[in-house]
Amino acid sequence: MSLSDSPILAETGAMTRFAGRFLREGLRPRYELPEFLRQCYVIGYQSLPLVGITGFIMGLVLTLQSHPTMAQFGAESWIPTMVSLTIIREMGPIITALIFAGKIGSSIGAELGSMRVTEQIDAMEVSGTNPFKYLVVTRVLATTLMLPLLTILADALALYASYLGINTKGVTTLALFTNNVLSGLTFGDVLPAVLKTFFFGFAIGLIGCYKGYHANKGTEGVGQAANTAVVVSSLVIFLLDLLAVQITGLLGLI
Amino acid sequence: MPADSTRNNVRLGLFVMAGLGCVLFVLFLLGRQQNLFSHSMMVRADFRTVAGLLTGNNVRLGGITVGTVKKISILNDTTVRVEMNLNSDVRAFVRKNAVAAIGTDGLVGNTIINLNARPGPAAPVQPGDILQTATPPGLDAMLGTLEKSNKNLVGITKGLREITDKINGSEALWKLLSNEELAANVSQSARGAALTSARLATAAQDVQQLTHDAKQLARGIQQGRGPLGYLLTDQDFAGQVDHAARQLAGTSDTLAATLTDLQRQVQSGAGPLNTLLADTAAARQVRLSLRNVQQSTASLRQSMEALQHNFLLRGYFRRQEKKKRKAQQKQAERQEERQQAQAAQQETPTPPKPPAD
Repeated sequence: MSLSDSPILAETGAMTRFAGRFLREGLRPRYELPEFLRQCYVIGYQSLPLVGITGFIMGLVLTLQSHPTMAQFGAESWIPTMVSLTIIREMGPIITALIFAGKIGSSIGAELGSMRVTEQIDAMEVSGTNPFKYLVVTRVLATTLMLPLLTILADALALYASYLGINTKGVTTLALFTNNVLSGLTFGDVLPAVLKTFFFGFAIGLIGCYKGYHANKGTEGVGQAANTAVVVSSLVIFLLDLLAVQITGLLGLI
Repeated sequence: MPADSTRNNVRLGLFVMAGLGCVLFVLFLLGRQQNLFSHSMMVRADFRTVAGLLTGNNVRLGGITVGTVKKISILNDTTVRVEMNLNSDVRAFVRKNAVAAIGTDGLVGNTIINLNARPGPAAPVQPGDILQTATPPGLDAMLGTLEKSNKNLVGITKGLREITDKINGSEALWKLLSNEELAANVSQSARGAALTSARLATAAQDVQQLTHDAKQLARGIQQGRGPLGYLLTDQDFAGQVDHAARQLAGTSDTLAATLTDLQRQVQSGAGPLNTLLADTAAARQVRLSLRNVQQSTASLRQSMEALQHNFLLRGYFRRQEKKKRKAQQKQAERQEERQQAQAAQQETPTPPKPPAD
């Protein structure tokens, strides 16, 4: 099997071209602002309950799970610092991105796939509307911008849940908790974590759109598009995370 | 459906604002923590080693974070210059004579700089001042000391072990320990010692009393009371003694002169003494004269006895004898009476004592 036959490489190349096209089309004027806002609403706002619950539970569970071990070492006062570092640096972005990929990646893949299968995209091209600008650019931009916001809100909820969790085992004031959290945090913790969620969001939107936009004909094409969109974007999230931690390390921010 | 769309947009706006608000709040808190926004003042300190200090580490005054490390640069092979940003609101509390020291936040925490105030007045620091530094004992130095202590400890425990072995192996000691008689003896000795010490205490009291008395006596003598005091303290007496001694010396001188004179007279052969001592003929005559005197006294005695027997004088001698005998008889009677009186006094009946049981 020669290199040119590799489906993964071919797929990667095609996706990169797709990303290039997104940038080209996105920067060119005639912006679809109302559609972009609608997508933001659907992708961002409507994902908030799911992401919020996930984040809340994550914070609570992390606190309750780490409490016995930390208590064993007499380091209960370090729980806020430890949990906040865990959530803000890693768990918040990753869990939110995975949940987001499951909800939004699949929906985008299925939506665009069914549009492709039912030849709506072809119809738009015929009618003179740029389907890429209208469908892909708005969605990818929306995911890119909404995931960081969702992540931040999920982090906040998780930290609040952590505060509640600590208060189930003892008494801590919110002021002390906040001071503990802030004493362990630096810009080097927060900024890379926020920055990488933009890339996560971009990857989720891009992969969902690509899989939907290039869905195969037939009913199973829609399902396949939705499925691969979630699988590939989840995998890419982890790859990007690995890349992010390497770059952060190189910059000396860890 | 524009109304619905507007409502959705409002919700989206709220959502975005909430997210952005959160991230901005956290970033602001972090920035305030690292003094990015407050007005700050730069001071410097030169260290020999900064022990892993990093840019952004905290600077503390009295345990409160008052600034951060801005820049660390190497001045030369033994000096590292640290530039710190201090909050300007603590400027009044950091004095020019403050000492900067490298420390750690907890046992394994971040490296920090501690600013320690020193007694004595000083002006507040000015931007750009170079603070004095102190180097706390490093971990290496502490470990070095600990190693020495460990070695000493090994030696000490070794010695202790040898001592213990010796004690364990000593039969005499164990015999001593298990001997009950010894314990009794020791207890008895202790009792004796206690008694002795009690007596000693009494003796000491007596001695104390004695010394007290002696002191009083000495004081009395000093004050010139009593004959001894008079002797020792009277000035006139000393003068008299001196005078007497001088006279004595003069007398003895005269005596010596007289003796010399006498000797000369004796040795010169003139005068009666020399005749007596040196002339043998004179000595024989003296002896002859003495014998003659003896013979004369013997004949005188015979003559006296003859006189007693002479009738003319016999009566006188008899009276004399009778008087003498009477006086003797009287004396004997008086002696007998005195003896009888003494005997009577001894015989007077005294009440009999109860028998002692």
